[in-house]
Amino acid sequence: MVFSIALRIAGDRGAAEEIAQDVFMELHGTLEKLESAEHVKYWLRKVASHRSIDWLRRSRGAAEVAMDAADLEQLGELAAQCEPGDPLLNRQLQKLVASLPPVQRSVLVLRYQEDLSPDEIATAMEMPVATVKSHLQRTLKLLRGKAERMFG
Amino acid sequence: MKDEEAAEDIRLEAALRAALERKNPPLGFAQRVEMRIAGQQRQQVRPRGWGWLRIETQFALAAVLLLAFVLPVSWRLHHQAEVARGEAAKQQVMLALRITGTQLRSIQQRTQAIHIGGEGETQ
Repeated sequence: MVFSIALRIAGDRGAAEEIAQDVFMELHGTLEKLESAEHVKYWLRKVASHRSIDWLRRSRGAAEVAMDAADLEQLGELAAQCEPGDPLLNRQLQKLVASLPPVQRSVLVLRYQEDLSPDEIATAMEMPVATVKSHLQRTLKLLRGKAERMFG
Repeated sequence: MKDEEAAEDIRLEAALRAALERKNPPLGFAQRVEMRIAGQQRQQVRPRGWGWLRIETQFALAAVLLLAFVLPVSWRLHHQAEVARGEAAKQQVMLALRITGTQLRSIQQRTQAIHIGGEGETQ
């Protein structure tokens, strides 16, 4: 969970391992304050997201993935032809997610990887629920728009 | 149009869920975290103060401190004691000289008195 959140947000395996290790080190020091397994999970998701966003902001550019016209064309074709879960479609969608700004990327990861509700995401990301919903809608619209552009 | 969008969102959400499936950490990740935690604990149990230094280093530091601070102070105290002893000896010599001077004067006066008395008797 922690490594995966870090990997999806930071977009770099080495950085993801480093972030995940740091999160567990921090957990080791905080464990006494956490009351239940659910609390630990919530804490891990929250800290992993924040640390990954921090890392991404610090090393902006290094981990940024740009979608070029060829990628978008391929994503459009794949979205039209392939079923969800197709490896090629997955790869293009992951690339598309990696091209989003850090906070939007985190909201998407917490929603679709961790299956959190907008309320839970709002608590973890310390932002209003309306902002989370707006981020999700905007991201879906952006993805839809990018795909639609390909369908012409 | 709205229905089409909603259907596409559902499809897109399903595709995103599939694309963003959890990834397992690399092999040995848990061991590396355990090692880091163990390392941190070792650092935390290090005694406070200078106890974490090796015994040889502690001795070397103590020797340097002794040479740098203790010896000069000790030398200065020793020097001051020597000066004081010298001063006391000088005072004693001066006193002895004064006493000797006084005694000599007294003897000289008595000798002169005897001498003068002797001359009177002869005349």
